Amino acid sequence: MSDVKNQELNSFVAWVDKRFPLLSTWQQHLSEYMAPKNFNFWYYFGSFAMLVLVIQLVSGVWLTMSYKPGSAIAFDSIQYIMRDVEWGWMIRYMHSTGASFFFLVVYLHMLRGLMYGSYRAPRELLWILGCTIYLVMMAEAFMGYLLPWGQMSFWGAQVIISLFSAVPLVGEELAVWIRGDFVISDATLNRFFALHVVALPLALVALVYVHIVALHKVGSNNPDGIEIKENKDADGKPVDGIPFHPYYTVKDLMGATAFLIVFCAVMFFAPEMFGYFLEKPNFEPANPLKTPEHIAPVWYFTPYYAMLRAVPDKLLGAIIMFAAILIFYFLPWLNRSKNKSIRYMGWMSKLSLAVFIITFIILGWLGTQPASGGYVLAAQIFTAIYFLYFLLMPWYSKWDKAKELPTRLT
Amino acid sequence: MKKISFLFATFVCAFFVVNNVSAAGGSSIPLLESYNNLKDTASIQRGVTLFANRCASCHSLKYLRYSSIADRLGWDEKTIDEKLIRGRAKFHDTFVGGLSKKDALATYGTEVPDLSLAAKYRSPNYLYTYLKAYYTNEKGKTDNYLFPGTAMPNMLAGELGGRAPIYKEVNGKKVIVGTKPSPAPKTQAEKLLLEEKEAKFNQIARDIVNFLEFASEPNKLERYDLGVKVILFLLFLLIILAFLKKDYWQDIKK
Repeated sequence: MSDVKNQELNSFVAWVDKRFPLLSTWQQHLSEYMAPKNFNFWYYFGSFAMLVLVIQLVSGVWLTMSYKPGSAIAFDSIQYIMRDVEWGWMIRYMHSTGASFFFLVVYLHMLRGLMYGSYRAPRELLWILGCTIYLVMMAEAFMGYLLPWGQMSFWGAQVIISLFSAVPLVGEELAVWIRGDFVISDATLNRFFALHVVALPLALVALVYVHIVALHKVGSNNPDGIEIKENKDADGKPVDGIPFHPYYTVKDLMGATAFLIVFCAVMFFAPEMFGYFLEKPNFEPANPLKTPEHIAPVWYFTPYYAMLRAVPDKLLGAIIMFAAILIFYFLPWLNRSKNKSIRYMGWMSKLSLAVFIITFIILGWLGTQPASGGYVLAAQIFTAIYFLYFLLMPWYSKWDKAKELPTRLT
Repeated sequence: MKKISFLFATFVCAFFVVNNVSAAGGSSIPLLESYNNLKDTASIQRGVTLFANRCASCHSLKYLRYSSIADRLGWDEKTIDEKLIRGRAKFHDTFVGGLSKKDALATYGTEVPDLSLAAKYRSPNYLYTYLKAYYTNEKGKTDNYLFPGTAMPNMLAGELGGRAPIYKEVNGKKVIVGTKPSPAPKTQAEKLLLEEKEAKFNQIARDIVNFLEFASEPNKLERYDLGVKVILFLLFLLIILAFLKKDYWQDIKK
């Protein structure tokens, strides 16, 4: 009986396979895609990021069914979702919690790349695609934040878009062109809605797809930073590689469940996360005549916001802020150490990475504080340290004493 | 493993430092703890009645439906109509209340805020402290130390009697941190009486705050309930998947 069924299934698969590369795709990307066997904790975050992307897409589609863009109705429609739509509160909290978790897992995913040198040759293009995903994500989050049309939505967008007016010569025209009006208004809200729900998600999905295609071309790096492809057995398979499926599918399934426990704990019990995921002033409708006493972006933008405010000049501040994000693109050519992984580097690389992590966290905290006195000075100092991590890398990574690499994965 | 725990410790520390500092930042006036309990149905019942009688003539609750109140408090349509609607609206309508913009400007010189989300854009502790922050200043006028110059009259003045400010030095600045009976009680019996009065007042303020927290998100208790179930399910699933992973990975040599 089961044999008959198997035969039927096989002939169906064969039918499809003649018309679509089903088996070869399955093999190339899952059952015969060889991944290093020593992935540790840090290697979960890539799959978590994809999981959150799916959560955002699905919850976003459902939010769009009840949300109404428009400066007169947007705020009310959010309360309509929270109170009157079946499961609306859950869909909305899923999306707002998802936004913060997206950045959390992507930051940890990027930190993994920094630690194990996942951006080094031959993975430069993979890294560049990842940086682009990060950029698009930031645009996506920024535009999404305007949609609830609360006080922070309005004033946050006001602060960031007014940066463009600092551009010499065409600044004012540029800012008006982006807003579609002289102030943040209904026109701005509607175009941000279009970009947030159609244009940027499309770009994001396409980029993630290309990111994975690039990954599977060069193969995954690993905590030792040595290439498993350089050590193959008689069949031409890497000795230290294991098929992604079933080993990492089952492992990621377990990891995803653990991740969802943390995600749900926040989503069900602290979706506002003490004002860090959903800011308190955003529960007041946007009021162009009343500036909040303290404008701060959501936590994932605060490191860059601190840098922006650290510089007294508006244009220069904006340049510093964008440079701080774009500098990630150059990492593959800044790092000149012999080995990829931090495990086989000397104290200089280890120390500078540790200082960089702490700097990023402190800048994030400074971005939530008022821009006054000591805070500004601190932001200036840590902005300098942030850039020094990148700008001095060609030297300290070269001078640093490399440890001897193992021949096999450890 | 050691490195991972170290990194996590760094993140956790950073988070708590950030959280504490920002909680202390902003207003330097310390907030009182409201100790309101969303599960206390009787308290919300008292709160909604207090709100309807003392607040609703000026404050609206434009997002709160009578039917949500009924669901939460176990009141039927008839009870809701008798206690709250009084024929002015339908069961599924939102709460009737508030002044028109014109009337508000004429009476108070400012717009009166809608309180549907007050517990969110402020906090229950803020609202509780606000209600308790009225006092009589040196000029003999009523003021509010949490919101100096507030246009709102003290709607609960009769419940507490005269209050004088308590000053304290915070960050080198003299600020009011609370109020005390004024005139001060002379005898022990008077003192006990005033304490009893204050306890009653606290409960009234707590009931109103409790109702406003409910009004800011009527589904909150449902959310907590569902959260427990979802997380228990995921924990169960995690155990099964952990065994599955272990089984698949047993042949991989380290």
